Amino acid sequence: MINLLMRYLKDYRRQMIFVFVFVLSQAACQLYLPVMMGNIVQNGVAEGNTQVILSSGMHMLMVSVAAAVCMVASSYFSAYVTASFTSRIRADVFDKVKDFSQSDFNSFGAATLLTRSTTDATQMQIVVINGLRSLLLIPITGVGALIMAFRQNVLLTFILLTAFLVTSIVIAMTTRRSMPLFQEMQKKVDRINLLMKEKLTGVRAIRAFNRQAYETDKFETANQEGMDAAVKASYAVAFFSPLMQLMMNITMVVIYWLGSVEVQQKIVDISDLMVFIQYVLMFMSSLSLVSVLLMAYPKAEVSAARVKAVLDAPLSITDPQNPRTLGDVKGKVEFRNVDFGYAGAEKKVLSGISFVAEAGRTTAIVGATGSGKTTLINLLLRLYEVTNGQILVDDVNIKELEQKRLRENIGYAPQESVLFGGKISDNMRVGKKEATDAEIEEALSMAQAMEFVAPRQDGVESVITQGGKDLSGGQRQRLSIARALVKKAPITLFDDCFSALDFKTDAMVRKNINQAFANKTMIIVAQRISTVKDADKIIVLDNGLLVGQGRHEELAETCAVYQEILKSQAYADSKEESL
Amino acid sequence: MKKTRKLTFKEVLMQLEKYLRNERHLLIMVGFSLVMSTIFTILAPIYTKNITNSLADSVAQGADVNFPFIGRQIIILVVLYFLSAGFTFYATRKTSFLSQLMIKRLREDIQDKLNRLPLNYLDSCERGDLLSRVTNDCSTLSGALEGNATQILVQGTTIIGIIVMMFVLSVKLSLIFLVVLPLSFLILQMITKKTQVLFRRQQRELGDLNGLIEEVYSGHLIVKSFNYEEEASDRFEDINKRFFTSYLRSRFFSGLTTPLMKLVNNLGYIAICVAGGIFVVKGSFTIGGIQAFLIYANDIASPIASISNNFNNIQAGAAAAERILDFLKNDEELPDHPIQELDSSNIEGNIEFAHVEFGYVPERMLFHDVSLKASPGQVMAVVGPSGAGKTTLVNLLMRFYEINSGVISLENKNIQELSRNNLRSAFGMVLQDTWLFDGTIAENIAYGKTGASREDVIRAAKKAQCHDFIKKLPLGYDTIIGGDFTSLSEGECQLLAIARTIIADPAVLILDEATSSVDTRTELLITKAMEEMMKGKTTFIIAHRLFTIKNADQIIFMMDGDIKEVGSHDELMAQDGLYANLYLSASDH
Repeated sequence: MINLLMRYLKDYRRQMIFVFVFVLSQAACQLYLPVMMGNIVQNGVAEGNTQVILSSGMHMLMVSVAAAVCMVASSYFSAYVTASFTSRIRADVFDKVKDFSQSDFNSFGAATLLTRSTTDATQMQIVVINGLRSLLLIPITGVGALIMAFRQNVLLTFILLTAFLVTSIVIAMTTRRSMPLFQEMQKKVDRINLLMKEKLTGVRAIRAFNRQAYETDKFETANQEGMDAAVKASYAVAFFSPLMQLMMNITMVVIYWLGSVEVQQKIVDISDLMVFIQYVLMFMSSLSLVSVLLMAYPKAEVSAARVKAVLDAPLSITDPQNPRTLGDVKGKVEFRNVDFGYAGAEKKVLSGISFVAEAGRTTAIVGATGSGKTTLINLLLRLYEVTNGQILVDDVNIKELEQKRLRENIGYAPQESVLFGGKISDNMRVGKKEATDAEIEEALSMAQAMEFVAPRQDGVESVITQGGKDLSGGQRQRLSIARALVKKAPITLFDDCFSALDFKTDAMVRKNINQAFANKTMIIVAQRISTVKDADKIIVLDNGLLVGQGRHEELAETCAVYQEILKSQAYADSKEESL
Repeated sequence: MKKTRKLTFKEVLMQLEKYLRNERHLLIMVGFSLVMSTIFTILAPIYTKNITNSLADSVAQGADVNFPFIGRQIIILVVLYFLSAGFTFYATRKTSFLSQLMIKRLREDIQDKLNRLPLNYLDSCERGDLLSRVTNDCSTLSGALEGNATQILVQGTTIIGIIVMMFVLSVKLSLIFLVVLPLSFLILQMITKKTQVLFRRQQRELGDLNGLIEEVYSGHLIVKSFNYEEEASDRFEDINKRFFTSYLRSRFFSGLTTPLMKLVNNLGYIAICVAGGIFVVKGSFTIGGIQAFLIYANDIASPIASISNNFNNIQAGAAAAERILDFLKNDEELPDHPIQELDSSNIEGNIEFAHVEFGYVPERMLFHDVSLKASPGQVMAVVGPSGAGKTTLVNLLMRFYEINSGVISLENKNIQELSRNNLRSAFGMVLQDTWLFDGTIAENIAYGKTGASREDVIRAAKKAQCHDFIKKLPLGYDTIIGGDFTSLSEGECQLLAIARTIIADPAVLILDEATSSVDTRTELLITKAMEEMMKGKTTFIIAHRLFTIKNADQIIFMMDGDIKEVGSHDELMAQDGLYANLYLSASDH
């Protein structure tokens, strides 16, 4: 946490210095007040001089106003620093996540990344707000009070100091003991929230399987554990604030007693003792503020660690120092002995994959679920890094290219269509910012999306909700295909995106694409043989191995796995169509 | 969300009170301890005053310090402080316990409610909002209870107690000091008013920011593969800049509270010093009195500064509580009135719809006089263009929704006369959007059957063709899925859902596009496994493949939310209606 704060706050050195100066001046003013009070008691009250009392009062008034002005100023600068900190840290997490490769991203998970960039950031910001001024003010006032007290009376100050040391030790020990308890509590709360979320998303399944009682049990356990952890954590710190209060009060009592003795011995004056006690009070209130801060700290510490983990996560895929460039991309894609496996997994997802997708040709990839088709596409986009082997585009290893340059040349329609909230046209321009309206409309018509886009009130300018929830699965898929087409990239990847379309639309879309993209490289992942039959080359994957490549007729003769797929679809119907 | 009248603060409290009803004695004890501890603290300055006065007298008279007297005062002080600390300790512990207990009970109610809410409510609700109610609002409430509720009690007692003590010490000085108090409240109010507006704006900007973050994260794949990173960053920067400005403003204004309060407090302090000093000179007051008064002025400052803040937090807590209570008030499913019971081990699978009318909203009826009959072992193919309302049929069969009129019966028993659990135990379904929960793969599969063993799980997984890909995962069957783990493909998730249904071994199957995202080769294997499972069982299958459709015993053809035609392929072809039309248009290609 401290580490992270330092990293950010150092950029606001100037503002921090202002905060410091104003807080210091304010503390000085505040510390001056008891001196004036002592003056009132000693020279005013004791001498019966009303004039001194009044003039000292005026002094105090001026000093107070000065203190207030300093506080307002420090308030502004600390607000500035906090605001900068909180917006900067969000932006940095966001930018970092943006640079994550798919495997980096998945190693965290979308849900937790979201929490880390939102809730955790907020959690830290709370501590910074409260901390910035208090953290400065408290030590300054505390130390100041101590020094002033010291000037008043050495022995009494030592007692105060001892009390302070003991208190600090108590604080340190409590924090150390309670921190893991708070972390534990946070974990349990997360678990409860997760279960709640599951109950909402899985309501149909839970009811269909009659598992309400099971879910209730599961929840009750988590709920009970959550309560226990929370109670345990609060019990661990419950003694804290009363104990601190008690210790300071007892210190004060001791000071009264010893002070009385010193008054007897004429070492101190009674007004000195009163001033001294004012400082003790001041010191005590700053300490109690410290304890409030410390209570909030464990939570923020946990959050800071989570945010830091994101910020400091190494990027598994980075651009080379001296990237090579692609000229006019022809679109030849080659896999050379490519292996891929998730770290720690028993089996590799892909192994020894070698094939060439010739420029300007259509290459299809077929194979069972889990045979590695999508992974292969992701590797080509360099969303994952190959474990072994090379992938080449126009005979250049994609590792030697800037990721941006590589992806510029690839159009992509993923298996799961993700759309952004906003205008349809904005969604279409995601891949090509400068696409004209005509180009967008052309792509939409090619993907057979115009038929449902056009009737909308604002046509391509109409707004869809986030994720396109107001569209059907097929409509989303067509928009996703159109988005890939707008790019008119030399290489276009279709990851099984035709299967959500009904047969007729599927055929129309593919016909349009084949016409318009005749001289471009296309790689199509598909399930229906009818989709891939006419491809220039078909790659057959089985369990991560390449078991056949060639044209439909050849594979139908030679490749056992392909024959099996053929048979399974012939089994369905010789026509192999769907409604 | 049903609109309900806004609850007053008192009503919210009254409704929350029931969660702690059986802990009433503890509540009273906590209140008592808090008040006691505060009173003890407030009493202390009286004795310090005695000490100072005694010292001042001794000094003035040039006599020895009266140690026996001072000693007594000190002993009393120590006792007071110890008592106060003890009571505070007790109260703090018990408050944490009570607020946690209450939150726990509230959560129990919420989860119980979730079990009983009708699906039409849950389907029509914004999930994020609902989720925020059951999670964030609970946290807000518990924070408000634990931190702020007790604080208010302590601060209230302190303020009142100190004011009383001040009057006891000196009426004149108190009156002077009390001029300052209303000033504090006035300033607070002015600032709060201003900051509330600013805070609301800041929250809105933050909401926008979080919305964008969520969108970009969920579309990470697209952002990367379309080189959309910079665009996304620009959009982010844009909102972030606005957030920065509004945050700075709201922070600054709320930060004004402290200096202004401090200033007002200092005014009070100075007034006491000056006026007190003059009173002492005139002999109507003592130095010890000033001393005590200053301690009081010091002690009253922080409760005054923070009590309004605490009130705000309590208000936020109350608003959260209100949202939760509001949620808990929603109408529940009609309670079960089982008149009959099915022996779930002996269900043949007779299902009949007789003149069923249904609409999600009464104004728009979807099913008009639907009648159909499925005999044991028959395969019913549900067919129609997407959006034709095929899931409606499932919703009605499983009684997720209640029909408006007509009768649906299972084994000739009206399903409304059966308990829901009894009815649903007869069905097994593979849902369109597969739902996996946070847990291991094995647990997710075993979900279909209470007490399923690892062998059962593996057997089902093999039948559903997921054994192979499971072995590829780092921890095999013990890999945690759901929640954050997203590396399973849609098809793989669906296979797991199939395995789960296989393990449940129900009498009637509802296959809701089970195979739509599974490739054809796997589909064949699943079809075989399912055919095995389907033997002798009535099956409703939402079908795409012509083979399934043509070979089904009956086809239920749906369009525009309604069931249009029912019959075998040949019958419907002969009928030359909508189905025949669609079939021909698809196959003449």
